[in-house]
Order: sequence, then C-alpha cells, then structure tokens
Amino acid sequence: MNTARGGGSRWGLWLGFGLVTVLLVLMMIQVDRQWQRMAEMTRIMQEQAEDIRRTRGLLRDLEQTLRSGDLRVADASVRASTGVSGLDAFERARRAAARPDYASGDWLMLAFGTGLRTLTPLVSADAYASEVQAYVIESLLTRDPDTLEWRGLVAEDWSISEDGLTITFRLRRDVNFSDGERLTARDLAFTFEFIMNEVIAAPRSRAYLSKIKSVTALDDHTVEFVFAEPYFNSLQLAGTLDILPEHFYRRYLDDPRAFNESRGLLLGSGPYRLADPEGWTPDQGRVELVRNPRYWGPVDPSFDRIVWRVIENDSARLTTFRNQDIDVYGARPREYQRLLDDEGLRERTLNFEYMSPTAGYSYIAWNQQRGDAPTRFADPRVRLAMSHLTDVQRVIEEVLLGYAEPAVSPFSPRSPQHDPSLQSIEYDLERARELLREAGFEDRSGDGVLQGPDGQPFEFEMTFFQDNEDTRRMVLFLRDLYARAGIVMRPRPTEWSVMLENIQRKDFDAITLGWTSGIEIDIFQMFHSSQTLEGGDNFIGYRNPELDRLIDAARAEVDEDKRMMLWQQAERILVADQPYTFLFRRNTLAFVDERIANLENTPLGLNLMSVPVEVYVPAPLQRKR
Amino acid sequence: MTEAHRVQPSRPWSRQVLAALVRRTGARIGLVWISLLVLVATFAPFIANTHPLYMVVNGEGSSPALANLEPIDWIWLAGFFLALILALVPGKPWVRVLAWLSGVGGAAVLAYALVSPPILTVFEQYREMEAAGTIEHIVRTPIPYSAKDYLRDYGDTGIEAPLAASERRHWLGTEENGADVAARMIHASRIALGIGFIATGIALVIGTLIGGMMGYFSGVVDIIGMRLVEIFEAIPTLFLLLTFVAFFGRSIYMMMIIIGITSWSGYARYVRAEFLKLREQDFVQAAVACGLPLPSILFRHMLPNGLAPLLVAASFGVASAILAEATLSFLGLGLVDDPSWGQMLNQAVQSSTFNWWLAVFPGGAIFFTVFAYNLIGEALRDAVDPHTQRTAQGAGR
Amino acid sequence: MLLYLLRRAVLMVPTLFGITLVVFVVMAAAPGGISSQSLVDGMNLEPETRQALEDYYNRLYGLDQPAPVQYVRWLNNISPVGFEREADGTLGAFTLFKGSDLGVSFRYGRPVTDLLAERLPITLLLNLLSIPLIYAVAIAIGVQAARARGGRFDVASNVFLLGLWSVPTMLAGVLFIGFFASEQYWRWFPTAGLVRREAVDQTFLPWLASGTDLLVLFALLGLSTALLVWAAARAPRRARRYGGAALGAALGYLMAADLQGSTPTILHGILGLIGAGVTGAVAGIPSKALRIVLAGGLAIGVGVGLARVSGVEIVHGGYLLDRAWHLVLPVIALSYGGLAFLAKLTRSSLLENLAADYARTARAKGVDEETVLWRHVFRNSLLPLITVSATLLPSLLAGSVIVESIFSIDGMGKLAVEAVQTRDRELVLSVTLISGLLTLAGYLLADIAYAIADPRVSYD
Repeated sequence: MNTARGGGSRWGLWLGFGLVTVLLVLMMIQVDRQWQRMAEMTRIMQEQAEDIRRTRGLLRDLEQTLRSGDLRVADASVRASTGVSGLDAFERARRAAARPDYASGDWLMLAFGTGLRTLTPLVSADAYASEVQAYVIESLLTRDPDTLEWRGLVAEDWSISEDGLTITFRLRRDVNFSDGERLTARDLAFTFEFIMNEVIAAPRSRAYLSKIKSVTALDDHTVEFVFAEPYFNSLQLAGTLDILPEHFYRRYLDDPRAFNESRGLLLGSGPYRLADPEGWTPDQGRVELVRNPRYWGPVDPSFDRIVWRVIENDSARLTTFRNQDIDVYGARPREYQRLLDDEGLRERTLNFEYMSPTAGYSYIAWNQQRGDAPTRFADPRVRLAMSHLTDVQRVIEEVLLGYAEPAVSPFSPRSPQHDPSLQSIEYDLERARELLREAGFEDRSGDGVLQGPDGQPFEFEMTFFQDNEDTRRMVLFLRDLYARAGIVMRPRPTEWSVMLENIQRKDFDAITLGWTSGIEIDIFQMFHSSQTLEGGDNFIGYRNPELDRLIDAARAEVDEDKRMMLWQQAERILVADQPYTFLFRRNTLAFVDERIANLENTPLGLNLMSVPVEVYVPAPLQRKR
Repeated sequence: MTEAHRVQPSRPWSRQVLAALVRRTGARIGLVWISLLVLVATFAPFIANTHPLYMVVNGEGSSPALANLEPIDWIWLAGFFLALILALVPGKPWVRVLAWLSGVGGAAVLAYALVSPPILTVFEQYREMEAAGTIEHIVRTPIPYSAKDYLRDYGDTGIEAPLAASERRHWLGTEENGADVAARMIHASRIALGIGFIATGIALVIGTLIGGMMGYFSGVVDIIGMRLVEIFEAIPTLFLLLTFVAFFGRSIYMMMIIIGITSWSGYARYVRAEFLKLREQDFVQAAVACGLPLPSILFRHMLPNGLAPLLVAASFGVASAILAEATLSFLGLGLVDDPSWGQMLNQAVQSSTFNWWLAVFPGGAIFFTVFAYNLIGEALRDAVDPHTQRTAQGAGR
Repeated sequence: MLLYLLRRAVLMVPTLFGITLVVFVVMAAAPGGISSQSLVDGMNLEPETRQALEDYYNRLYGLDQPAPVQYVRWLNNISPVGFEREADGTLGAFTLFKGSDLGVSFRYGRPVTDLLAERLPITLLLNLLSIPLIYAVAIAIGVQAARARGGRFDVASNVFLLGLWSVPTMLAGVLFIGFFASEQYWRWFPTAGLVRREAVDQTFLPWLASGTDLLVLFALLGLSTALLVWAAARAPRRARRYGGAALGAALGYLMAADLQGSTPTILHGILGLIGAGVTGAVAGIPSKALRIVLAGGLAIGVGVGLARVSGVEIVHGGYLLDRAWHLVLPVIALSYGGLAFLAKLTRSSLLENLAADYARTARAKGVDEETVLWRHVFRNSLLPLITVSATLLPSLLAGSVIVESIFSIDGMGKLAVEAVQTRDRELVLSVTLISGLLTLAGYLLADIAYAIADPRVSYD
C-alpha cells in the first residue's frame, strides 16, 4: 500500500523515536544513580547525627549526676529508673521508653481538615497551627496528664508571692533551641517584650497577656513575672507562654511586616523542628516536622518525623486512613458507628472515644436585642421555654448517636467550677407551653402557630454554619421539634464570613455555635454586660448586674476555694436565666492505626498528641521509609 | 430559489420539523423520558407524600394531601393541564405559547393569593395516629414519604441502603437525614425541569435581545456587543457560576437567573449572525425600500426562520443548565433542605463511606435527563438541517 | 500576519478588562462583599483587637475605600504601566516600567504570582495529557464511524458517544473513586493527590530486587504484549470476539473474587458477564489501530500481573510510575466528555467531506478509498477540529475545577474554588484573569493553526 519512499521514512521515524526513548531511559537511569548516591549520603549523615545526639545525652546525664553529687554513671538505657530530677514533665515519657517493645523510628502521619494559613507563632490563630507549634515550641510549665497539676518543663521550680502578684521561675540550665543556642531567662523577657510590641500583629496574645505588668530576667536562669492585678489564672498565663528564641525573632522588630505576613517562621526548643525554620509555605499542602537532633530533654521523642497532610474532603481523608497513609482519623458520630461495624478496619486500628476537657460546649444563643428594641427572647420565660423545647437528649441520641453529654452550663462537669447539684433542662412540652402562655404567646388565629402579645406569629431564623453536617442535621431536627409547639423556625445556613459579620452587627434571631473550653474557664467575654458593645463576644445583648458582679469578683479572687464558690453562684444564675440554651459537649471519636503503641486515655484526653511524646511504634511494626 | 421561499411560511415548516423529529428513535426515547419526568414532577405530591390522599378520622373524611398543597404545586398542575388543553386547541404556535405563559402567570398570582397551606407540618402525626388506631380508613400515596419527611418518629435514621430497614420500605434507600431517596428524587425532578427551562429561557431572551441589537444596529454596538460576548465566553462558565453563587447565596430562583445570565453568549452570537445575513437578503432590502420598518422585518422574518436552529441550541442548553445546577449542588453551593439530584450525589461521597445508591440513582437521573435532552437536540438538529435530512432520507430508502 | 496578531492582541485587552470588571462587580455587589471583617476570623477576639486587625487589613489591602477606587487601584497594580505604589498605600509618580503585580492573596498571604506559578503547571499537566489523548482516540473512533457509515459500529458508537457526553463529570468522578479507589470495592488507584509522600524520596524509575527479576518482567511484558497485539491485529474477527469475551469473563471473575472470595456467587456471574460483554465488544471493533492500542494497554497490565504472580519483587515503584498511577483516573474523568464531543465532530466532518465533489473526483480518477480518506478528506476534515480546539481548553479548565476537587489535586481549579469560597479578592481576580488569558490565547492559536492548515485562509 505504501510506496518504497514512504516505507523508508516510516522506518526512519521509528528509528528516531526508538533512539530518543533509549536516550531518555538512559538519562533517567543516570539521574537515579545520582539519587541513590545522595540517599546514601543522607543516611550516613543521619547516622552521624544520631551518634552525636547520643553522645550529647551521655554528657548531659554526666553533668546532671555531677551536679547532684551522685557519681553513679548513668546508662542511657536505665535512665528511666534513675529519676534524677524527680517528678518532672518527662515522667510518663520515661515510663514509655522503659517498656520492653519501645523503639524509636517511623513517622507519625496525621491529617488536617482545612488548609493552614500560617505556622508563625502569635500570628496564627487556628487550632491546627497550635497543634504543630506544640511540638516545636516549649513553655515553662505543662500540665500533668494524670493529676492535672502543673509540672516544670523548661522551669525547674517556681514560687508565687503572698499577694499572688509575683511569680518567679527557676529555669533548667541545659535547655537549648533546635539551632543549638542556649535558652535563657532573657528569651522569656524578650518573648513578652515582643508580644507587647504594637508593631507585631499579635493582638490576641497581647490582650491575653495584658494582665502581666513585666517580665524580668533576674539572671540567666531566673525569671520574674509581675502581674498588675490579682488574676485567678496567673500561673497558667505565665507558665504556658511559648518561649521564642530572641536571636531568631529579634530582627523582626525592625521589619514587623515580614513577621506579620510570614507563613512559616517557627523555631523553638521542642522535640521537633521544621527542617527549614523560615521556609514553610501553606500551599505545599503538608507540614513536616523532623526530629530535633539537638533536643535537650532527657527522653528523646520516638518518631523520626511527624507529617500532617491537608485533606479537606472527609471521604478522601477516610480513604487515606483506610489505605494506611495516615495514622489517625477523627470521625463524626455516624461514621464512627458505621466504621465500628467494619471488620477490616477494626482489625488494624484502635478506636477511642473520650471527653476531652478542652472540647467545648455547643449552644443556641438567643439574640435579646436587635437594633435598640428588645426581642422576644429578652423575656427569660421565653428562653427557658425554648430550652424546655430543645430536646437535647434526643439530639444527642439521634444526631450524635450518644457520643456526647448534655451541657448544663459553660463549666465542664469535671471542673470544680461546676455545681454538681445543677441539672440540665429537661424536654418538657407542657411546661414550655405554660411558660410561653405566661409570656403572652398563644395560638389566637387557630393556624397552629403561636402569636405574641403584639399579634406577630412566633417565627424566627436559626443561623448556623453551613458546612457542618451534624449542625445541619441538628437544626433540621430542632425545626421539627419546635413545630410541635407551634413555633416556626427557619434554618439559615450561612457562610463563615457572613456569619461573623451577622454576629458583629447582631443581625440574627438565634444562632448555634460552640465555645472551646478548659479546666477552668473565664466567662467574662461571653456573659459580662461590658462585652455587649459592638464586636464584643456578648453578642446576644445579655445583661445581668448580679452576674457581672460575680464574674468580676471571681476573676480577682486568688484563693481557689472562694473563687469556685463564686463561679458556682454565677453558674446558678446562668442556668436559671438561660441566656444560651446549652446543648451538649461532644466526645472526641478517633481511630488510630494499630502500629501506634502506648496509647492511653488521660484526664487531658488521648495521649497521642501529648508532648513530651509518649507513643511510639514497636520495631516489628515500623515501616521502612 | 423559489423553492426556498416556498418553505418560508412557518406552520408547514414547524410541522415538518416536528414530524421529522418524531420519526427518529433517539428523539422518541428522549421525548418519552422528558414527558415521564414532566408527569412525575407535576404529580409529585400525589406520588410521594407523607400526607395521605384520603383518610377518615372519627367518621370524618379529609384529604390532607390536597390541604397541604403548596402554591407551587398548584402552579405545576395548572401549567400541566393548560398545556394539555392548548395542545388540543388549534392556533398559531406562538399564540399558544403566549397563552400558556400568561395562563401560568395568572395561576401563579392566584395560587399565591388564595392558597395558604399550614405553615407547620408535623409529618409523623399520621403514622402516630395510625399506630394509635384513630384512623378508620386511609389511602396513601405510592411512596408514603415526603421529600422533607426525616422520619423523626423512628428515632435514629440516617443513610440506609435500599430495603435495609425492616419496618419501612425505602425502594431506593434513605439519605443522610433519613429522608426517602425515591421521594426526594421525585420532588427534585421539579428543580431539574424548572431550572432547565427557566434558565435556558432567560438565556434565550438575553441572547436574542443582545444578539438582535448587535445584528440590527451593527457598527459600534456590534463591536461592543461582541466584546461582551467574548468576555462571557472567556470566563469559564462554571467559575463565573461559582463566583455568583458563593457571593449571592443560594435560592433556586437565584440559581436560575445566574445560570441564565452566564449562558446567553452562544444564542447572541447565533442571532447576530442570522440578522447580519438577513439584512443582506434581497427581499429585506426590497421591503426596506418599500418603507417597511427594519425591526419588524427582522423580527418577523428572522424569528420564524431561525427559531428551529435556536431551539436546537436551546435543547442542548437545557441539558447544560441541568448539569450546571447539579455541579453547583455537588460542590456544596446548592440548596440546603430542598431536594436536588446533585446534592444527593454530593452526599454519596461526603459521608465518608461510598454509598452506591446515593451515587447511582440520582446520578442516573441526571444522566438520563441530560442524555434525553441531548438526544432531542441532536434529532432536532438533523431534522432542521436540510442537508442531513436529505441524506438521512436517502439512507432510509 | 504579524499585523493581524498584533491587532488581535490589542483587542484582547478590553476583553480581559471586561472579564475582571464583571467578576469584581459581582464580588463588590454581593451581600457581605469583600471587607476586612471577613478576613478577621476567629471568634475569641476582644473588640479592640478585632478593630485593630481590621484596620491593619484595611491599610494593607485598601478595603475601606469605595469599590470603584479599589478596582482602579487593582488595575493600576496589575498593569505594567502606571503609578508607583508607595509603602504607605498612596500613589507615587507615573512610570512606564513599574512592572505588574498581581497582589497578595488574603488567605495564603503569599504573592498571587507565586501561587499561580505552583498551581498552574499541575492543571496544565492534566490538560496537556488529556488533549492528545482526546484527539487520538476521537479521531480513531470518528474515522472508523465515518468509514462504515450506517454500519453497526457507526450506530453503536453514535449512541455510546452521545451517552458518554451526557455523563456528568462529577458522576464519573464519584463512581471512579467509589468503586476503583476505595477499600469497599476495588482499591486499584489512589484516591487523592498526585503523588504519595514516599514516592518523593524514591528514584525516578521502578526499582526491582534483582537483575533477573528485571529480565523476567521484561520477558513477560514482551510476551503478553506480542501475543495480545498480534491477536488484536491479525486474528479473525470471530476468534477475537470469543477470545476477548473469555479474557473479559476471567477478569470479571477475578474482580468479583477480590470482593467476595473465589466461591462463585451471583456477583461473579454478573461481573463475568459484564467483563465478557465489554471486552468482547471492544475486541470486535473494526478499527485496527484502536484495537492494537487497547490490547497494548491490557497487555502491560497482564504482564505486570503475571510478573507479580511469578515472584518478581518490586522494591518500590518509583516516582514516575507513582505519578502516572495517580493521574489515570483524573485524566480519564477529564477527557471522556471532550472525547465524545470531538469524535462526533470528526465523524460528521469526515462524512461531509467524503460526500464532497473533490472526493468523488478523486475516486473517479481511480485513487483507492484509503488514500482518498487519508490524503484528501482527512486533511480537510481537520479544520473544524482545529476550530473546536479553541473551545476545548476553556471547557477542560472548567472540567478541572470538578476533577481537581473530587480527586483533591492542588491545581488551579481547586485554587479557584477555594478562592471563591474564602472571598480572596486578589486570587479570584487573578485566577479569572489567567483563565481568561488562556482561553483567548487558545482562540488565537486556533486561528493561527487554521491559517496554517488551510492555505485559503489569510489574515492579512
């Protein structure tokens, strides 16, 4: 069919094509040879770094023993049992390292549900960034996961003055940052100075620390915090201040914009570090921390590397977890239930459900003032009736499948702030109807909808964040519940930015949201009447002079027992007044890959992410990376 | 030449096209599917509804289904029966279309003025009454669930595979809130049909107006208009849609308008070209010389002539409008409570395990509808194209 | 020609201007709009600090100014000629060489140019892989359909292509992920992303445990390829049909066995039948080229499978294979729609030209049908394909929005969705600008290609 000439050119074409392919393959092989060589060099360097680290550890132990006057030679393997420095933050980590199957190595693979904006401390605002920072930056104190008491991390011990206004910390001498520089008391003084400097975009931290008058380095290893007024949380305030290295961050005081707009300026004394403390950018879609080879702590962290991947799609995240490419999957209740039935998954994962103390409570906030006029929710009877109508128990059962507990008040039931005699408000349709009747709401027109004293039908909009599936289910459920009492609720799914704007302009009827929580929390910003101003967090316009007085008194009370009495009084007012309908506190539900050993539920929650690192992968289960 | 003029009158031509259309198997299948969809959409409250069609309580008969009909239900019914009547009455096509439109408009005004169904609906009341034995006689719809009936009385309901529940029968399973997928799909067919027709209608009107202006005025208006067309063609439509919806919120009417104003450029191009061509024709020149106003000539002659090709484009346009809505819903920018096929498809993967019935049934419905419109569009194109028609007939013999 | 290009380039400016204007108007007119409030996220801020942050963003991005001013400032920033921008936000002197600046993304806080430079190549990679694939397969199918007009292949492919065209991309994506990338069914492909973390540290090529393994792998690959390609090319139609059906049935059975074990159930029967039907039909395709390509693809899979079974140990797959493995599903999801459209277009265009007078003349001269088709008709039929290539790029860009968000690929499409959802003004404007530019460039390229392909067209 082809002419001879055509055949010739065709052969030429094939020959040329083949030649190019062969050349390409040869080139790739050559590149791969170089790659192999580089990988080998990296491995050798890592081994050497490991050796140096071990030597360092020995030296450190030697120094410790010398100082304590005890000339026993500390062997690295029996370090755990010597317990030179007594009860410090590393107690649990030591116990982990002494377990027979303990091994260091392997990577911890985690995932984020949304992208991060920045990793730079102070500028970052989200929980994800602080999750990463917790591995990199250390503070003076840390809470013991078992007893919830404060333990020294960078601090060796501390003392509080009689009036509670001065706290003095003595620092450990052997602490250094991950670039090898020593950590001294001057770094703490600098951190405070840095945060308080107006040019740094850290308004949140600045406001938080405004109770501190000064931070002074008395000498290299002693630092003194002086408070302007008595404040109940002063030890936590000083003790959890993230210590920033002066030599690294000082230069940004001259170029604050570079700091404020930076994405990954992260350096500290923690067990892990960024490979490049200045070079991280959010669009990589992942955060990788490598083990800090110069870590000062008596126990080295187990994982070689901690990697977070950004996987926004829930199902993709789950599939990635199923494929064992990430080690932890935080499930929503319904998924959790379904995944528990999944044999294949259950075999090679551990599942945990626990109530984290920092897991906050969800609520419905009733807007009590719109424009200048009070709304129908300004009447406490109406609010109480709404709380009676909100069948929290059924919401928990049907939307959260029982993986939550009803919230009585802002205070956690495990906190001394809570008065155990208080109960959450029960579902009671009759009582609610009665209350509403008292407040003047009755069905006068006979169409099934209640009318207020002014003849207006009882209709309102419920604003909620559109992208949370459980919230959406709950709101739809509540709509059907309120309908039974003759109240029309219209769901209003809202984008986050629009929602913030609505909150700020107080342009909503009711809104459902959540506040994070803690061991002892401050309710000043949500419920104090001074916070009703534009942009304040008392965005429902709730005012109660008695509560204001109690909050002010509690915040200034240093004595713990007296303070708890005050908090409990405040709580009683909140329960009776129902400025919010307090909904529930969720359990955290998580699946963890079975490779991870030594997982344990502590009063602080699952110890998976706790620093010092306590979890590890036993040698036979480690993956070659 | 004379022959070409002979087919100018619009009635025989449209009849001819219609006949050619119905001859094609593909078009027949497409038309059958769309008619089925129209039937289902019109009678949705009588096919899938929690409110019983008829029930007797304390010796008193009532029809909750009728009492709970929303204005929009009445409008659909009115539109459907009006279309049936008008199809039987002889008259010029455009007169009938106008009559239908004004009829539906009137029905809409009446419905919103007169019909006031209860604002509060408690779906589970019938099942509770039935369980309590207060109902003496009851006639239910074939699928006894409404689209928004989340089965609160059954407690913990959520995603369930088809026929997985023992005490209830969900032919196509349930979705994440526990509503019946079949019921939601039936009610969602309204959104699919409505968005297809109205969005394309809006696009057609805008496109014809702008295209007509460009073709009629030509010159500067034409150049500016073409830039406008180019602008709307150069922005990826989906991206423009995303921007619109993300910034303007989500309501079904908003989405219709938005899809409409992002997809008019093709029609404008076509109408412009047709007008420019027509202006040069001898008979138009002659008519202008006789003193007839140009607009009336253009619209008189252009519209009947160009309508069929415009219909072809519109038929494909309806398909892409349905796709656009489904895509938006899929990307999580669609409606919240109201059922839509795309939103159900979104749930198929959102809920972290893959629920095949949420992918296959709504996805299949989208596919078949789009396929049907494409089949009709293609058959229509063949029918109005004299070239392929001739050859097709040749091949047929 | 040069003059024409210049004119076209100048005409692009008002269009681009209009594109950004439309998008900006939409953003500015929307409820909520673009304001510093939306940038200050986080609920726990105290009022004064929130105010301070808002002021900060206002200073940085000029968000407190009226919308028209904001737009004009933005225009000034991106245009290479204009007023200098001083550090404090005021305008400086007019210069001709200030360079264009796309601004800084609100959300990522990085220059938009950097972001685009990272994301655009990924989207372009997807599209550049898809376009040749689309053209190759579409032309093969279209030519075959046109050649045997009215035949069984023509009718079947016509319905099939129209159906394929009607499948929404997200449905295809969802089904792909649901069935072929999830552990519930078959985990053949990865679900998300473009590369595994481990593969980044690996060599480029696959790494086998030993040299003999390499030889075995090559031998098995060569054997299966030779066998299947030979069968596809030379075997008689009936034999191909039956052979293909048998192979398909075996594959279907294996798929079912993967799910439910090897004891035969209804599922095994159904999947076996489906497999037999599909491969049987494919094996019966009259186009030899199409058959060979498909058989080659199948042969590589079979060869690798056989090698794995016979004990070849693959230490790691290497970066190249990993990337390819991640690309399979997204590229298919991205290209099938365009493929269906283009194949139909090829068919109709060829049909028109086959019936044209010049083709008839050639045949009358005694030129054989094959030469008429390829020498004369095919070249002329390329013209509409070239015209369409201009619209293919925008539709692929739009398609990559869906594909990228389903498969979690960090490309420009996903960036666009994120930008719109977070109301990132600079990013939204820049992404529209870039995609508009790409689209217009596509039109221009198509026109030039048209002029090259058709000597009758001249733009002077």
